[in-house]
Amino acid sequence: MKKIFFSFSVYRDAFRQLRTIGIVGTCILTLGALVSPLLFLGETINKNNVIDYAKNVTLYDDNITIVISFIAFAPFLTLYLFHFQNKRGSSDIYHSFPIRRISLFFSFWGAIVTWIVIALLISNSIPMVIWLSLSKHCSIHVFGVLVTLLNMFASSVLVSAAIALAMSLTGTLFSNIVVSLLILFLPRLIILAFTMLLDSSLPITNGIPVISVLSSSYNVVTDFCFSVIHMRKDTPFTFAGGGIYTLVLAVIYIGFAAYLFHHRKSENAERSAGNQIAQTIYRLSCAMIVCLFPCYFIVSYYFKNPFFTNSGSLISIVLLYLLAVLVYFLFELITMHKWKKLASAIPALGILVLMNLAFIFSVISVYDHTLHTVPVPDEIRSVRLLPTPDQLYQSDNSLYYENSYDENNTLFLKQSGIKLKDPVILKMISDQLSSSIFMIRKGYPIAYDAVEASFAIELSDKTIYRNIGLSKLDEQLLYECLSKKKEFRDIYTYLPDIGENAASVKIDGLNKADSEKVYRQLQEELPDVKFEERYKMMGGSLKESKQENPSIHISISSYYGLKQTSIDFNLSKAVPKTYQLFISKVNRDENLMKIRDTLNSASKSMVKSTLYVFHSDPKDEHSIAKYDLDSLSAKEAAYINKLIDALQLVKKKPFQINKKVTRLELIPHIITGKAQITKYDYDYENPVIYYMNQI
Amino acid sequence: MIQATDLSKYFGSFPALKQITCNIPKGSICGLVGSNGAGKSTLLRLMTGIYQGETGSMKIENQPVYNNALIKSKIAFVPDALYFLPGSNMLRMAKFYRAFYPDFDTARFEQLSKLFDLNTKRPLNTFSKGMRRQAAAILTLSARPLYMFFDETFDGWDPIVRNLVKRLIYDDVIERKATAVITSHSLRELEDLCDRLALIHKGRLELESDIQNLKTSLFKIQIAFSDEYDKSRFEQIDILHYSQNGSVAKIIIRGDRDKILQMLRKMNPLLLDTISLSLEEIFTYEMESFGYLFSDIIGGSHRNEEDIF
Repeated sequence: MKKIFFSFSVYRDAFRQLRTIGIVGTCILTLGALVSPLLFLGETINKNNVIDYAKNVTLYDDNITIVISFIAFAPFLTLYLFHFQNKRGSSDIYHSFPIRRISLFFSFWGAIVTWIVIALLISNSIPMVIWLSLSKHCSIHVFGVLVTLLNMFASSVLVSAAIALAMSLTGTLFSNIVVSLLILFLPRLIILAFTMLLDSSLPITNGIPVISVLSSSYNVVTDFCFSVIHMRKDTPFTFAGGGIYTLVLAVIYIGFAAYLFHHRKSENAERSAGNQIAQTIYRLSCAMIVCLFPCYFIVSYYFKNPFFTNSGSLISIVLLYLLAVLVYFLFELITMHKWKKLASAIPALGILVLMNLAFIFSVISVYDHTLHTVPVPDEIRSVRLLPTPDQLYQSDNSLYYENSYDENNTLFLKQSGIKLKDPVILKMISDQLSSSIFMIRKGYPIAYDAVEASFAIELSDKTIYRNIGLSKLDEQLLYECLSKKKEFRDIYTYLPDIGENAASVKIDGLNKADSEKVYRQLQEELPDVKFEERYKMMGGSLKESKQENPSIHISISSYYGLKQTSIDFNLSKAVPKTYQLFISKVNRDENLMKIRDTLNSASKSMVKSTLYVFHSDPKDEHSIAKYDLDSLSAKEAAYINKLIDALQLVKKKPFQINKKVTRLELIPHIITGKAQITKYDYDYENPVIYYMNQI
Repeated sequence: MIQATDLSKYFGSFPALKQITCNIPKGSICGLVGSNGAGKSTLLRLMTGIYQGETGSMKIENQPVYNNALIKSKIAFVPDALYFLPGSNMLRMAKFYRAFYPDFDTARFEQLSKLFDLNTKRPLNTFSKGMRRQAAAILTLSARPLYMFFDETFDGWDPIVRNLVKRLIYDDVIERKATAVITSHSLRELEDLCDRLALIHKGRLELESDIQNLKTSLFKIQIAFSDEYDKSRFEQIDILHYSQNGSVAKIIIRGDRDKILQMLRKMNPLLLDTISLSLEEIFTYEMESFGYLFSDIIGGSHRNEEDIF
């Protein structure tokens, strides 16, 4: 009975068939995964260059090649093993073998999954051993690593399942690949085009789907591939919900694939589709992908979208539709190899027209429905302030991320659960929504000189999600209302223990042990600080309180539900003990000596070093001074040497906040060294890797 | 027993096989003949459970073949388009077959490989076409099937290999009551191998019979009389073909040979010779009796009338 669904001997043979691809793939993945830990190991061994700082190890950030597992490895394994279905001879032989089709399918697919598991385990366990040996210098985010592994596995399995499904439907390599891509991407591509079109034409829609799994972040494969279109900066590999959804989707796909494989006829080999209807569906789907672009332009034209301004776009619409027709016939020609077949494909073009009209009219109907949904205050039961994904904006030839309510911020996520029912707030939301819709109808942006915020507005029968422009006064009103609530105040009081919800801490310039000491001090000291100050330090965004260039940055990474999130804490003198501990830890003699050595040898060194001097006052536009060490004037060099002398002095004397020590007040830290380009960097257009050290 | 009942198979709207009914008894070697595209391979694929017919049934040992792993464990098939794993040699293929056939006989595989003088470690893609067919036959025979199906496997083999495989099949048929079905578009390839023959033309099974029966029921005579005569003198005899040159007539006759000869001798002929017919000649005249030209059915493989006479 076991052999009804699985045959171990066939599984073992399939595993053997995949041996070459499996071993080569595993080696490539392992080599890719070893680069980062080996470089770090090299830095650790070569003490002259190493700057002792806490490094958070996650699989994805430290091994970008891991995506090969689902981009190339899983597809190769699946295409290779199930390729027998594409040739008459091999297909016939397998159909004649004494094994149930369903058993053959699961035995083969089991071999593919085994190789995926082996490759992921080997390629990640070897680097992990190196990281563990360096655990003094880095913190391994174990839960994050496991989630990334789950997401990688789920992605690889999904891709493999989609290809197996496509190969059960089609019988040539070309159609295998095309239909696999359609299965993987077409549904999400249509949803993406729909939401992007609405978001760009109707700024009050915030891209939050009514059904949460329709959010792009749930499908790890498509989220990764569409991240270029999305221009999101966060990784799809740390969201456990995405991994679970992707795995469930893979199971559904593999169920379909097994069913179709069981019913597949051997005579379908070397044919692009099992029947004429399937062939028409594939052809139409390929053309529809191209049609999404002219559909976008047409709807933009209808909505008078500001992005659609030049008359050239009308020509683009015509050209893109011609391209869609070309793709339509090209697919037929490539798969059928007969010019005569093109004529018989013409009638189905009518279906393509209907599909386009259906897409366009559904967008327009949702647009109109959204504009007509304007609840009065009495209709609103409650509102919740929601975090939103970071968006990449372009301004003056530079790109930057902008978001006041980052969806990856633990605190914003927590506060999104707080329901506000105060009549003043409900009226404000209703008024601002009306005002935003009025602005849209007039063709203006929804918020001049204001912040866009996303809200869940609970009505009696449903919840609607809207973006609303908030003025400074509105933000103040919202803050006052929220700050009266205990749960809101609690959110900005509590910092998780290290290890709680996989929490780990990273403080720029400090190694792991020192980071944790400073953090524990902060946990002790924080509850005694006034709420206003806490809110300011913990990056609360509803008041004009954010420090654009935080002088000392503490990042607390943890999991909130299934999502990896972080708290960005800006250390200030409001927590004097923690501040003092940080200064004492960061001003280690060896660090200062390294800076002095770099300064003295800068003219001879091949490596360019830049020194940043951060001033304590963030409101000062000259708060960051930059020095290229190889081209310092004598005066500047003397100044920096004095600075270092002063900081060495701090080590010997207790630091006192209120004492007028001008230099110390002016310069809480100096930065040189390797730094990631972050949203705070001014050199975004021309990123340079700096050697960084903080004192 | 292999039983096909009203079996039809369509490819799209094209009828590849039309209402085929035939029985192949256990322990027999059956040859399927027909021109290219006649439907031989399709019938073989229906018999091996590769295809499923649109109408009718295909059973082996009274059980449907399609997707029946139990019946298929008794079946082995050598297709016309051979399949080997990429880069494999015979040893690897033996492991592959062993994964699917639990009764795969490794000792027999080694024995046959030696017998055919095939290097089991040499990659199969370096083998000649004939050697690849031999390899496929060895693998099939090593699976110890009770039902063997060969799709044009014998075409193009040299007589030594052909006789070797023939002997192996015979052994299996005699020792284990195995059944073999072999397709070919050449009657001569099957004549000395099969004990049953079936002829397929344009998707229809036109003729299916025991070879011995065919050979004894159809024969040729040369006869001459001293007086003038014509075909009407033989009205009581079932004549498939008649030709007369002067006083000598050449006649293809169907029926009981002894009785008919006795009847002819009573007519006091000057000359009466009986000549045995080759299988190809038998088919030629049988098909003519159905209104077909044999050259249409077995394209180009038969001798013309002048060769026969």
